[in-house]
Amino acid sequence: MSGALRVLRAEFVRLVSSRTGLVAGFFLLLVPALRIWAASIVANAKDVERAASGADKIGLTEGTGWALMVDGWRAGLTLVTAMLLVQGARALAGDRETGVLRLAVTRSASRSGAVVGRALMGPVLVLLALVLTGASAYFAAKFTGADFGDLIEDDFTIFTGLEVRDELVRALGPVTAGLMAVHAFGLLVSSLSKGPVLALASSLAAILLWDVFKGDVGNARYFVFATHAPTFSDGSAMKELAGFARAYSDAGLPDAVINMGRVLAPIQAVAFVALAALAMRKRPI
Amino acid sequence: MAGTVASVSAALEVRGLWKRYGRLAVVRDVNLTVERGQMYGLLGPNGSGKTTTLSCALGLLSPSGGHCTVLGVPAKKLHRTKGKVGCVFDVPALLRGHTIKQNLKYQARLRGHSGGRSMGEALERAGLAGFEGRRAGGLSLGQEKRLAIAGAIMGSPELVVLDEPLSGLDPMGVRGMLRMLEELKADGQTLIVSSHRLHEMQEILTHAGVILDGEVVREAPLEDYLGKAGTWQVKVRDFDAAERAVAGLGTIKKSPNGEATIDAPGIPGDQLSKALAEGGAGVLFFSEARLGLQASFELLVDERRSARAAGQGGAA
Repeated sequence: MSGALRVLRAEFVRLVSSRTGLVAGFFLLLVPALRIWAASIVANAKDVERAASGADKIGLTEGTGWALMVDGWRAGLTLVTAMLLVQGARALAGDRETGVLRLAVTRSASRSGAVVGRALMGPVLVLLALVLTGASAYFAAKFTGADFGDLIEDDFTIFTGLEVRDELVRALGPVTAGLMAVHAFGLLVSSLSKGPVLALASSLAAILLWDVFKGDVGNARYFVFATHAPTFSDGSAMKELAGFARAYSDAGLPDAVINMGRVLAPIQAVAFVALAALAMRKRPI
Repeated sequence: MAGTVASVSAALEVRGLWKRYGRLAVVRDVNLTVERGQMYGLLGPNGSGKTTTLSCALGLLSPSGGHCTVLGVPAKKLHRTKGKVGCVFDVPALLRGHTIKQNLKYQARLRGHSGGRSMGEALERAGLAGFEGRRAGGLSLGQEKRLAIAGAIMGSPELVVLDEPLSGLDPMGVRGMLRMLEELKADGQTLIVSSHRLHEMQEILTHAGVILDGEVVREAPLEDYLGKAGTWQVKVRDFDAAERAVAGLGTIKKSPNGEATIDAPGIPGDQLSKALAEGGAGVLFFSEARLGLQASFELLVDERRSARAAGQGGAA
């Protein structure tokens, strides 16, 4: 087993046995559920208001669970973006500061191995987070009584449940890749920073600034990994999916954009990790 | 053979090591050799370059010149020793939010292979058995250092490097730490200890290198620092009786200060004191007349100062 895999195993043990890991997991379950709970309260209030004013019910009559689930999932994934950035930014600068990084390089991993091992935690964390937030969103939506059948409005089927599922899977590709790249970006900033606080502030600032300016660069924004990860100013495939799940026929990103997310974000992630490994080659540990 | 630990006798070899920060050289042409089975002390005052030397030797710091090998492997490729080197740093590298057991599990995963000293045995040796569930962040400094040592000796390390293991410890902590190091020495563990605590180090080391201003000024077995063995300083009521008592064991000479010096190489101190007592010498004072590490170190410092002063005088 290579040094990177040993570091990955050790980091996994560290994650699952830490209180921070448990608290993070708890919040990843809580946030989607809270978002759905809040949305369902608002929706019920609107229905009551309409009924009181004698107006007809508008929107979907069946398949309402999809939109609720996607909204909850999106909220959870926005938190995941922030958490991955924090985890990545802390990983090298923080461990350098506490000396924990020395444990790896004096035991069984090269400097590059120590970086790559931490980078491999990215995909693990993303997959765990996707499962946790997705499951929480699904069960919370189910709990509200919403159904996951075809999207039907006035007895007219707009999308079948199968179509929504396919669109969901299509959207998750670039989002997953974008989240992995966010973690790798945090790691790169971490490798270049003197301390974990600076690393965290720098990486958060970079992502937030991109959120502010990405609207100004038009479609070129899809070349950048951060666009494909759900953020507060979301431009990811999950946002489009939320429209699709509400049966907006113009929602959904074109295949070209989805493919850019699937291909470019992983390439950028690999480049970030390679640069981080390069940066760590000469640094005192 | 690439990728494996070469079968060589030296646990650590440092040759012509330099470390410069800009124009300031903090380590200058350091040469060290630590053989397997030794308990080697890298001794020197604060800021003399001990930690920098060890950091270069362990590949944590890039040297400006020279090269270091650990168990036959270049320092930069230390990971190829595959867990054969355990290190404890001045500030223990711990996961402070995790328990003692989780910390050791983390380190075991990093090492990647089982065998050798188990987690339980390492905790036992470090005096932390029964504390497995305690969080590292809540430990005293002494316990933190013990935990770091437990991590370093887990498995089967051929070399354990400890940077300032006694710094910051209270007297009881120092005593406990020395006892633990003695036990590791008894296990045959090769140890490199950097410290400026000479009195304590004298109790445990087999070899020492003294580093002053970034230069190794002496590297020798501990005995060479301590001076000639078998010489005893005594004060007796009856010198003639003492002379008769030690006849056959050694020779006794009167000193101008009223004391006497007995030269008795190879004779244990208790045998000699018993002979003096039984011979009616009336022993008032009996002590081994050896230089000691502290005095030897002070001599080296003085010699260096004198040499520098002479050099500066000559230059002027």
